[in-house]
Amino acid sequence: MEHLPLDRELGAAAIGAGSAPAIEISDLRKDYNGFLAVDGLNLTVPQSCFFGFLGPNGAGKTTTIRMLTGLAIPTSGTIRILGLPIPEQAFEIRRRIGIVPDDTLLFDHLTGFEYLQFVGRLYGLARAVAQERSQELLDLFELGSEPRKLVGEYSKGMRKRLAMSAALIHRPQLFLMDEPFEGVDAVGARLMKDILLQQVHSGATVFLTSHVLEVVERLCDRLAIINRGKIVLQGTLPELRAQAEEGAGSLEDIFVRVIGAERANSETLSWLQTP
Amino acid sequence: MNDQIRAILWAQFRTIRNYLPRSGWGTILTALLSTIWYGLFAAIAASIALKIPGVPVATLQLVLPLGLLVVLLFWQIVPVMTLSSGWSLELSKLLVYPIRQSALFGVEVLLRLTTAPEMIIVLLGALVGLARHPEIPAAAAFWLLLYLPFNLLLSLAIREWLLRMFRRKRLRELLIVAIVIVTVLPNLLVNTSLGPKLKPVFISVGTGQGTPWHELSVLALGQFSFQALAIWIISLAVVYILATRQFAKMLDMDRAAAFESAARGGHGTRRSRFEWLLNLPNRLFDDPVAALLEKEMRVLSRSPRFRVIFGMACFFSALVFFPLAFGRQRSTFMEGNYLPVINTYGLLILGEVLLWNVFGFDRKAAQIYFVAPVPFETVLRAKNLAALAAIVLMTLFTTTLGYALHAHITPAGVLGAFFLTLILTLFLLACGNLTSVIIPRAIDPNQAFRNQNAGKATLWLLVCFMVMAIPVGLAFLAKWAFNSDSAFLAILCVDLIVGLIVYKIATESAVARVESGREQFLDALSKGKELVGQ
Repeated sequence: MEHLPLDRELGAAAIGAGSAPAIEISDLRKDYNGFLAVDGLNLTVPQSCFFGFLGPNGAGKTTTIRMLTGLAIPTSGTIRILGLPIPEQAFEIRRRIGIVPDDTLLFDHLTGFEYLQFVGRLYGLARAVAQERSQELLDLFELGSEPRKLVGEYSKGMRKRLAMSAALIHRPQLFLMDEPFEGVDAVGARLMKDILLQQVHSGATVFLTSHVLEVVERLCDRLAIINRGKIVLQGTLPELRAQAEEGAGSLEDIFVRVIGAERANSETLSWLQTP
Repeated sequence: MNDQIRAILWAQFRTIRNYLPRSGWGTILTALLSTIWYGLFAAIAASIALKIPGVPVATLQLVLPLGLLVVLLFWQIVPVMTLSSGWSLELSKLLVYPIRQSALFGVEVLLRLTTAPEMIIVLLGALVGLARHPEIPAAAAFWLLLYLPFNLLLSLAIREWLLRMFRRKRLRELLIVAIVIVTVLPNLLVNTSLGPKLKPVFISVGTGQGTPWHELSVLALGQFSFQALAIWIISLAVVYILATRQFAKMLDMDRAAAFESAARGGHGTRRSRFEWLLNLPNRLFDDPVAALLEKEMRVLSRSPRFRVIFGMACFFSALVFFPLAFGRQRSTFMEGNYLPVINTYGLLILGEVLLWNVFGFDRKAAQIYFVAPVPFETVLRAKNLAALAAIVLMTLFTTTLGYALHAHITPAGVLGAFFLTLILTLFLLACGNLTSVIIPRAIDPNQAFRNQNAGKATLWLLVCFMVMAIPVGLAFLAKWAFNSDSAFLAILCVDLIVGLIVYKIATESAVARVESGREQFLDALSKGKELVGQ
């Protein structure tokens, strides 16, 4: 992998700073007016791991990520990121993580270059460094050909690529990503995957959610499946296969067994079947 | 009613119904202010309804057309002056569905009822008054109802035309100047010799035969004529054609914007003529304040909404108070305090985008302030600094304009005005920091017109202003009581200290509030557009 020509000093100093797990969640709960979005979650994600966090819609994935990023406050339970407790050390944690949210949080009236530079400076990079990295990232993600274009004029895929660039600019130790490949074309997605794998190989941890199980299966070395706010399965893929019933070959098989088996088997609507 | 119109209105009704039970004291306050505002017009309508039966028909023949002309001017011009057009369809959300253009047009016409509901109340008062008049057939009063579709259609035509113009870069700036002139006109008419000169013209236009308002008053006073009816049918047809054409053009523009946005952009670098100004924060501050400030300035300078409002604040306040300070019926107070007054009024105008809801333009992107390693207090202070920079620019502009208009401004007066504006800004920022986190709401930075009712918003701002103007008012009181500039300055110095304390406490409270309620804060800013924008 030759791309990502970034200054690695900051990241190298940060990566491997401790031997604590990248994420440690203990008995985490989130109650929205009586609705338990997350219900007693226990999870450990080791460092230098590509971790897939799966679950059906409404299972509690995004709520969990929002609590990990500090955007949502847990009702109870503890979270430690890179050995640091949240919310006590939230500020220090923020410096070390990169986030790609499900709904990209971008300023529509800045250009891509201005946005990346802005984010870089918020993360403490010197202005010149932020500028240099912004241009390199824009070129890397093929967003540099239209420098006058405002973020508000970007397509969904371009916005995701820009959000990914923003997550990379300060070379974080931990990436928290909610559906990072959604809306991104095949070439862009391939590039993003390669960069993430490269980051994991150099010591970073990736925690991602995705509904594209083939991608998760290929990328992740550890997985957890959440349903109705609770972890129903976790481990490596062979471990998951062993935990699931016999005959579960692919991750999709395992997922459908664990999640789909609990669902009512409804027949297709008759009016949809008529030719 | 068309099924699609009914469906759109039903969806909007459900949206409001689902939203209301979750709203807090902000909704209660809005409801209270609405009650006061519309209660005022209801009182005017009631007094008209009570007075008309006692007025001779001959007098009504003169007064009614003039009154109808005033209603028309209020309905059509006040929304332009206040850049507020009431509710409107979010066409971007509806264009993907197979909805007939006529249905969209129908809903949009109905939504024009929200442009100036005050005038509907007044018209109903006139209708009741005429129906109760002993010399006028009661049924004739109902001709007044024709004024509703006439004004709704005309209002739609004007709104759509203006919105299209606001999307054209250079025309937008010209339009601001035109709006300022329109806005200042009533004041000029009252306070300069222009008023008495133009009064006969206004009366002749108001009472001139063949005009819609005159012919409508003929019908409403029970003097039916086929000529009046014919003029009305033609008038309605003309405004209908105008409205449908403007609506169709706007729809085409929205379609183009919705489906061709990806094609926009362009090559080359986006460098502003004011690049040196946008880079100024980097010379004055360190990161992250410099980065935040630069971002604020870039975002604001590219927002059509901010540019329009800033333009209004610079021109409008200076021009609107000029006749009062230096015109025929000048006020001594206004003459002596021209700059403080116009700057204060400028602050009132800028409040919407710079003070009361500072995260409004950020919308969902405000999440970055919670995931980046930057204290929220720093973010708030950077936003306040951006507001301060814009206010200083406005103050410089109004002062220059004052000199250009040959207003009697002394250097001491300029300094005093700057000092006073600074103190007032401090109090407003303190209050604004709290309202920005307690009642945040997403604002579309591309929308030059605001959709919410301007009257209520202005009333709310006025209430806040009145409370916060007390310390400044005390300084004026001291100046008047002791007849001394030293007393004035001494009180202002005390105000400055109090302002700094209040600002510190309010900002810390705002930070504490947002830290504990960040989910509600972000949810409020994440709320997208509904079918109908409020």
